[in-house]
Amino acid sequence: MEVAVPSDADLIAAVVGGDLDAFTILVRRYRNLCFRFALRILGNRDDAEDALQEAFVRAFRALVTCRDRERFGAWLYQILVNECRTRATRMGRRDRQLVQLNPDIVDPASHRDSAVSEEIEYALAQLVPEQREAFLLKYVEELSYEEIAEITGVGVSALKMRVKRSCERLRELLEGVVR
Amino acid sequence: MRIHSNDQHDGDELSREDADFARQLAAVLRTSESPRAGFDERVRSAVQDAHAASSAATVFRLHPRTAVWRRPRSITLRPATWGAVAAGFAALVSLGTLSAARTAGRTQRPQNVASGLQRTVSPPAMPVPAHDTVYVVRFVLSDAGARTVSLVGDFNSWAKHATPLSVVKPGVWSTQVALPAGRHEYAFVVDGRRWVADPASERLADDFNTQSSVVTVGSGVVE
Repeated sequence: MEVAVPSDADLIAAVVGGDLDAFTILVRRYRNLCFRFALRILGNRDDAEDALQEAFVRAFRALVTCRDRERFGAWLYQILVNECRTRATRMGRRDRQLVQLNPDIVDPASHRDSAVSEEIEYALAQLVPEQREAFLLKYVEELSYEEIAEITGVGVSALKMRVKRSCERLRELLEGVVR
Repeated sequence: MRIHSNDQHDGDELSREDADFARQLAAVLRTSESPRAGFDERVRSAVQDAHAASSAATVFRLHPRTAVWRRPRSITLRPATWGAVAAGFAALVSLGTLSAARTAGRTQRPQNVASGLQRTVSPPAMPVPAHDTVYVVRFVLSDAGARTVSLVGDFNSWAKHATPLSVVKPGVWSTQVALPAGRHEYAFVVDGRRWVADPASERLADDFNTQSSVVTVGSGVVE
């Protein structure tokens, strides 16, 4: 027996028709990817969860304006990026905390030394927000520059420069830690 | 400790060394993360609250700017008016938009030509009373690489299959839509997924940086 997996567009149509359960499926589909991004940007789980919850609620409110429903994920990312920018500005760097990477999931063969992970998180926290955002979207979320441009509203050339500067800064900060 | 690196070639402008370094860091940062237990329930509760609040509003679950155009409004369209619309549409097809505009004695918006993409919006006026006038607007997009083009806007609920454009000459796509007087937001969807704002028209960006275009037909005031 084959079970059809509803597309994002199918689920959005159901939500717009009044089926809130369909929105719960969308939440489950995207929450972990989005949470990882929010966590890396904001630096603590409380703010990341709040930002993600607010992003989902904003997405729900504006769902009928999601013009390309097959690309709901990119649209949701736009909302989340804006939400994280707002919160990051409000928080300021002094409130940023180091995040302990999930110890149950880290591959022990590759990441045995948790101290290195903490150093990387610390270095990431030292970047200016624009550079951190560009670096995470490009290398952690593995999006193309064109996709990042669509999400952030920043031009491809500027994004490349931000990523380049973020790498240079991270190398400075992690000299002797990561080779 | 040396973190795993790979030798994939990156197409961006980073040096090979920097790109490898970035991938090393990303491998650490890419570990799976999830919100704490109870997150789904909290979101669901917040969404239910939002739904309840919006259901009580006059216009709900709409972006404010878009909502303006979805509010119930009274536009009288008498049978005679539809006859005028049909006549006007036929005149458009047979005489062309420029001559139609001259007949109506109103200003014809000049054809805009931009590099790469171009289109014209021609809102020819028809001599019927303003309160029940419907205008036939021609939308044209030039995109030599497009395989399909459709028109989306507040007038068709942004449904991308509702208003396809036809090829009128190689690389030039066109369609005509009857619109009531007012300000309408629209965009083109190329090949079913590429969102293209009109490069020759006023642009808008919503809260999520999605750009669309605006055409105002008639006086822009709906009675």
